Amino acid sequence: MAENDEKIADKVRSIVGDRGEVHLKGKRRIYIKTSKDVLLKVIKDVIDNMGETYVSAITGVELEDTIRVYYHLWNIRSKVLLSFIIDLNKEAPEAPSLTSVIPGAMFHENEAYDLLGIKFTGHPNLHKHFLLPEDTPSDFFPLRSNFKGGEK
Amino acid sequence: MSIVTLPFGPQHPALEEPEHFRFKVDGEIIVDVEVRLGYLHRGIERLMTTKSYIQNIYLSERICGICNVAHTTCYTQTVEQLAGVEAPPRAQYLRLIVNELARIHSHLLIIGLAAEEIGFETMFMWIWRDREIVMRLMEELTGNRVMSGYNTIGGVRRDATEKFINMFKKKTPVLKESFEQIKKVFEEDPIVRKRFVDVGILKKADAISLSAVGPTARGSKVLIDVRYDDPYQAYKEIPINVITYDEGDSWARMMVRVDELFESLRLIEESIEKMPKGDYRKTFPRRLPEGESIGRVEAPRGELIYHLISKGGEKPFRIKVRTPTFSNLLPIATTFKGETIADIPAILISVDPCFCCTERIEIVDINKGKVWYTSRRELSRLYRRDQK
Amino acid sequence: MSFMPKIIGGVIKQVLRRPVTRKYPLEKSEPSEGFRGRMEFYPELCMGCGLCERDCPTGAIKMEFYPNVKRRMPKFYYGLCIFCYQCIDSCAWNAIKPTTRFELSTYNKEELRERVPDEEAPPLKPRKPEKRLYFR
Repeated sequence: MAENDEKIADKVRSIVGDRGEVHLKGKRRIYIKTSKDVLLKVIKDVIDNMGETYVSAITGVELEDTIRVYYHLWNIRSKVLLSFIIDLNKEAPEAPSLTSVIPGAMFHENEAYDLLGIKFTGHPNLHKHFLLPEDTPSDFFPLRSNFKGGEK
Repeated sequence: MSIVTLPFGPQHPALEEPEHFRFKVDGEIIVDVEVRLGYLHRGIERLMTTKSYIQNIYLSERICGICNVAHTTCYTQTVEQLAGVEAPPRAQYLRLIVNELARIHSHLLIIGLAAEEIGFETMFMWIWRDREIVMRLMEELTGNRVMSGYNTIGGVRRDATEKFINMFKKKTPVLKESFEQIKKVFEEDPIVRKRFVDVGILKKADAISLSAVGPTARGSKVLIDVRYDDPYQAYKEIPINVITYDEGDSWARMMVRVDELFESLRLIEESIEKMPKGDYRKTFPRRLPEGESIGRVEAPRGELIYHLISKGGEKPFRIKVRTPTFSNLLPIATTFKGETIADIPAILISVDPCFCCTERIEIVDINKGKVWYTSRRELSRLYRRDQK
Repeated sequence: MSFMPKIIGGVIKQVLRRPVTRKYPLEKSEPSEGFRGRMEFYPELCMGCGLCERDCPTGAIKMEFYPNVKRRMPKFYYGLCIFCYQCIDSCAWNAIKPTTRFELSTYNKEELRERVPDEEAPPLKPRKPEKRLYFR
């Protein structure tokens, strides 16, 4: 890992402060673990200090006791991928929507809602049947672990 | 005037892949647009958790036919990163060669289709005639014209023979002459310029905030390219020039692809000269440790990212695939406002939509005139009765 | 008007040349040597390890037990095969070999199933692997 990456990780650490933990996970990959209440403020501070950033992907994954959401953002000036991680309650997963900060996250969040059932508060047009056909019921989430279908 | 809703797709002669747009038009001017996806959703992310890492190479290859080399490169790179193994140097150079050859093939396809969309069928036929040369080179190197099956975890499956290198060196002048002609037509022909210039303008600030990637963003002066920012495989040793254009319209996006053709040819020539000798494949364990890794690759249409979460064992726990057209749809949908209906194909083709990458099985019964959606379980029951 | 001679020259050249259409079923075209066609199975070289079944992405290969010679051998179904050649890569005894035959169309799906008949199954002869295994 180049020392350039260490310097950038330290800079991110100083911006985030005590609102989250910052790890350097590999070349140009920085993981930032925060909580869902301060997420939007942290992202706004990082973008204000580090320059233009765009949304690469939003991953949702169901673990044993929580639902975890990764927001992957690529920073153009420093050339690092910042992944913000939050953990949500499994029964009623609600996450803040990134569309107020970066409007391009609209389709990514819609896909996470359609396939996993994560609600994003503040999203302009969250709807089901974005990728799935229209005749599926409204609680049909294929990527959940209790979903039955497809295996032989 | 009242607002009329114009449905466009999923079957339409101007589209190469199925998608559904609902345009709200006032006379000839488009006022609003609504996008509906999901005609090719196949549930691949869920399927990948039921198969082993070796079987998933071929599944990730079939997510998209045209960008299949980029998908296997990204998948094998991500799995190798998780285990902490790097492919041998000769394999990295071979991966660069096959990636750039696939990029030339994909760009020739979309430039030919762009010429056909505006009615310039002669140019379409001539460009696709030269694409045959590239497909024969791919067949010589990988064994198949389009669906290569070349990358594997730990390296590549075959070596580049003397026959391939001689064939490439013989065909390079032919390809270069053809690319010069394409560039001349796109820069000087008055009909091409009238259809593409000042159509579908995407400003730089919008391109970043709406998260455009690939030539869609590079046509609006945003300097992002994964081969330059985050180099992988042999791009660490062979530097590349990033091509950007300032105008932000459909013409700029097509010209980025035309200029990238020359760049890819230069990269292949340089890597053939500098290729080291040695092994092209390494052994790799079947069971992987626990962990996560993220791999990024520049597919012909933009940035492709794979996120792999593993809990140990032979099968992955979760793979997330984000394909470039998924990111590019939102910026393009906002550029439709204010254009006329006749500009719709010109804008759509400039973003190079590859919807099979993006993601239902829809069955149409012509005899009975019925359309119905079915689930994968029903299809398996219908068509697997004879297989035990 | 300076481009007229070039256009007329181009048109005459295209009209007078030999057509490129190849009348396919009457004139065959050979693919290149590394082309991935149908596989061929040699039962006397097979060890019955089952790695081909484990690595096949579509499940086109299934192992079957032959009680008369007390060994396992694979059976192939080309209706599910995608010709990726992972089985050839995984077999350390070279019992599956590649060919370039690609004309496999048939009206009867049963012709696509390939299985060694019971009476032709040879007994197992243990020997050392011939090829390096890349996945351990």
